[in-house]
Amino acid sequence: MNRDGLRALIIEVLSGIAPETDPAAVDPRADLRDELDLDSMDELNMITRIGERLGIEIPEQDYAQMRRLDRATDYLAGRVGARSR
Amino acid sequence: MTVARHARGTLRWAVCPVDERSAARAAWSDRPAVHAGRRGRRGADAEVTGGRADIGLPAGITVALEDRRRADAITAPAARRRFVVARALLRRLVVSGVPDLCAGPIAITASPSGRPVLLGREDVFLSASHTRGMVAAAVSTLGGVGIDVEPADRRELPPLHAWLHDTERVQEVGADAYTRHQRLVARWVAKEAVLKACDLAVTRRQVVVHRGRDGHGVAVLHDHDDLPGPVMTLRWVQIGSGFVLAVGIGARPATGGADRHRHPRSRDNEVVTASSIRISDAC
Repeated sequence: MNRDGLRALIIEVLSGIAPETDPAAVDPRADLRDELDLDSMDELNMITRIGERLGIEIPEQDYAQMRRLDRATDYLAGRVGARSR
Repeated sequence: MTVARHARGTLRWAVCPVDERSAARAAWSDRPAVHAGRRGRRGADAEVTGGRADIGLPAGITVALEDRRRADAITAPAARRRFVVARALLRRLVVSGVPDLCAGPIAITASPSGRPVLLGREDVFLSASHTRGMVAAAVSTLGGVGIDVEPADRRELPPLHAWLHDTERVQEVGADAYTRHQRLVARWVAKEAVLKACDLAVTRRQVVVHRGRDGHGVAVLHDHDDLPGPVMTLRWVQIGSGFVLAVGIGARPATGGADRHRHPRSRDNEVVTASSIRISDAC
């Protein structure tokens, strides 16, 4: 999956967690928790769902990488790329 | 509001319902109805307050300028509102419960991990939590403090393997669905409180919660050889019929910084330990 696909996946998952918001309009460099009003439970749900969709386990020490759309895309690209190599 | 004190410090916490409909307007001038502590009972080694007596925010401390600036960076109106209310609660608790405050504005900032910090007072510990419809805050001079609140009927709990230790998952087997859900929400808020209070690089799965029958409990860290034994004392409180709150407290570190991460029992001269603090609820 390329970066655009990963970004679309993140947005799709976020849309399910915060349906009243528009994740596609989020500033990629902004904190998703502030932009979409996510709390810690939302955050963990987002991370586990993305991990399940991609077939990877995202360790808790990497959760901070998932708090911005741009960083999350970079992080997942690295993880997916590393897995496919 | 009465302030309960102990020779070794105080713990105060408060909750404030937030009207999510008005949150969309995010008005700066309105004053939320605040629920805060009443006098607590004397515990084994510490005296603590908490509860739901109405006090109301005094006029003039609605929103501090620095909080307003920080809030302006929060896009979601509801999140902005909850942040402002949490800071107002913290300021109220600091003013009413922290001794020997210097004259001048109370400066609350955030640590790199996002934990609220009272500038210039390493002996004071702050914690805040906000969820949909409710804000909670705690201020402690006893030691590291963590507070978390969630709707009791919150659905969409994360997969258990992502946050429960294996021993905790075993304990949940056999309960009916309603009881199990209630217990899981209670475990969640307790773990969040512990993580906030410890400010340690530990995972949720490492935090193992042991709950007693009287709304009290302790938390231990699994697979953490440096911190054996209970690291936190926990207290659960039902807020109305809709929310579950957990407040946890460790022991006072000798100094700030790295010493925060030392185990309470490792300090020869420290009397207060996590397991010796009993968090009382006056409600």
